[in-house]
Amino acid sequence: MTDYLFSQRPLENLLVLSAALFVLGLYTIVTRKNAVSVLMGVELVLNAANVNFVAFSQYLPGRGIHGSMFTIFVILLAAAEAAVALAIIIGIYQNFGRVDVDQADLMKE
Amino acid sequence: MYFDYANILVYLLVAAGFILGSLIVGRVVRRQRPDPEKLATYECGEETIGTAWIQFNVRFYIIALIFLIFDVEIAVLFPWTTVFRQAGLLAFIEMGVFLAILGVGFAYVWAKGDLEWLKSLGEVRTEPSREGR
Amino acid sequence: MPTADWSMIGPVLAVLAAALGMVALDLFPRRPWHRSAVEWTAYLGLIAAIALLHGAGEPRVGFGGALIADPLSRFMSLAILLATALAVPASLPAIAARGLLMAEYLALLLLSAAGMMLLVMSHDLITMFLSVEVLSLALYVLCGIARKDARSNESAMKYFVLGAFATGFLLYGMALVYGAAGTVFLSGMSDGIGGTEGSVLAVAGVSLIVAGFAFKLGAAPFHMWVPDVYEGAPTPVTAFMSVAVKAAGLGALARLLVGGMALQADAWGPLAVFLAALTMVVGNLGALTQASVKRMLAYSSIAHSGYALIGVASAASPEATYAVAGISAALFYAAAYLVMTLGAFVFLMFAGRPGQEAETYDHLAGLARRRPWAAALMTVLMVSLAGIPPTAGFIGKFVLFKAAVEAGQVGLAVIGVITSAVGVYYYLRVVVVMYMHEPEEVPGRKVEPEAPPFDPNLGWVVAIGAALTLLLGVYPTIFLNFSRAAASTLLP
Repeated sequence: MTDYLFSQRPLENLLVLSAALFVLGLYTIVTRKNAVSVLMGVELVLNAANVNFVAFSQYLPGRGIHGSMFTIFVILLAAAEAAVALAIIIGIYQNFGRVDVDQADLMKE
Repeated sequence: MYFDYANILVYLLVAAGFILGSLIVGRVVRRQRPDPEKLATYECGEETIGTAWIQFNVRFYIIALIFLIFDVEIAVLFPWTTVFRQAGLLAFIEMGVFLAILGVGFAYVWAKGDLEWLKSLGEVRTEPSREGR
Repeated sequence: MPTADWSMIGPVLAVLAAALGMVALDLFPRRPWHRSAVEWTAYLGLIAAIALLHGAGEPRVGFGGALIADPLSRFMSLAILLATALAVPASLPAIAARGLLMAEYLALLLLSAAGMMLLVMSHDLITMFLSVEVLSLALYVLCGIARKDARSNESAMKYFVLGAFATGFLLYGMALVYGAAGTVFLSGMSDGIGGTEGSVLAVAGVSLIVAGFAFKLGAAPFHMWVPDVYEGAPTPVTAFMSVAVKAAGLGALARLLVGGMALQADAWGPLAVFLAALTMVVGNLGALTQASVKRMLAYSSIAHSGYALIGVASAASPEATYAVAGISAALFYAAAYLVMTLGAFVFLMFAGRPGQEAETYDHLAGLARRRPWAAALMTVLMVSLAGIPPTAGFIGKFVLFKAAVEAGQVGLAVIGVITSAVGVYYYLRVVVVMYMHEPEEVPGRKVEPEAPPFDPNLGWVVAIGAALTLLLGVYPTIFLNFSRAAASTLLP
């Protein structure tokens, strides 16, 4: 069964998976109030793109290794971004006592 | 073909034997003076029994985010090691520069005292401060 | 790897070395000369970087096709370095007043500038994405660097959440374009993608990339973060990010769309037209109703993104000369916008006192009597932002609208002229308040008759901004030639 599924249209399957991850990530970013959950959504979106890069790199003829290279850099970057985000969230916690993204609204007119 | 997997089996046996051996040696050699504190399950300094929805100490996050950087940046070392022989001296120097930059960052964190558990984080307010509006 | 490659990124290396040097200086025990050592490391790095930017020369691709040094990268790098060099002295009073760590702050500023310079040099998608992130990560931290200040924290949080959203769009778009083109390099990308008919991958990829850049540039409908982030961030950070990110982002967008996706102009052209029109309208209407001058300038920066995007929209024209004219006008406008907006934001600190910046229009009332020179400089900047001759703002808008009309985008030019007329109202309101209003008694704020203390360095920054605004307005030819040269090497 799995052989059948993945041997027929491997690239399309992966693209659908990645699109689903992307949409789920966007949904998480938009609907979650907790800043840490928003961060998880961001990671989902980045990893959706990673799936795409690896899939293209693997299945299209003559694509070379640049897609896989891109993925490694994206993983590194996601870590750096998560670190910066956690630092910001700690700052929010110290100032507002909570980490909800809609909690901080001192500047709305 | 299946014979090739015998290598893996040997590795598994050696690994299991090593763990078993060190546990046995530890049990034979160490002194045993149990007390309730020592026998308690260790859970990163948190209470082990109770609801899981507790607020973790914010200091964990600082350690976590410093760890995260150094943990994941190792990922660039893997592709580098595979081509190390062909890429030669330049690649070695480049990786040295990369690690030196990380090192400066680490030294900075250390020098600023952010690795100290007891460094004050400033006043952590539990009440939302809205009086500044 | 040939040494010529390393000379390409000389300016970036100089800035990076200065940033690392400052952090390393902070590791040692404090000495009395510590602060000036940190400060001069920053200046030395910036001076070395400007010296290493070679003037003329053939466009050169290096590092296996990852980076390119051409007139566009030099023009934009020069603008970015200028903005950084002005942002450093403008930051020092704020660092002192808010008790920030100086080395940390300046190092982040320089790291962000290094990211921007790499961005305008990047010639493949990997480098482009990484440099966007280098500049953004440093800016997220800079926005929230005043950790005791809740508004600064809030600004960092909002910038991060929406910036990460934009990063997701950008990266996913890049993944789709990689799939459609089969390459990450800008050379050969356009041919690799081919026509856009029926290619869902290519159209979706290009649209997502444009949306990602629109976020970073603060173009409507992706502008929601701009007012809050610009208002909450420390003012020197706002001054730096409002101008330098736009210059770098515009340079990269021009290189990607015109240089790398010329054949796909029917996919991104209409998007650019839509973004430009909406951004001009939203920015100008938003600025009209603001009570805070800082927030007004934030909306104004949205509006100016819209004007610069007119150039990108005109560059979708199949006629090469019109494409060059459009990009050249956009680049010139980015430079003009840089000097005038940087000056205007720094003026808000200059007009206030240490620790209390001028924020509302009331704070500026009667300033001309107390500080005639400051008011005069701000008048020059406001006149330029409004687009009145003989200033940089006027020339910039003139070449933009001319390029738009020639390229057949008459509608955009008309919207541009109408919204500029709206803009005159709120820019000149600042001038009117400074010259004609009496200082009012604001409850809770004592207005003192004597001139408040201010840092002379801030005055110099504002003066340089105003002087360059006039220079670009009176002798634009040299700079226009420079921007035309930058634009013309872009076309494949």
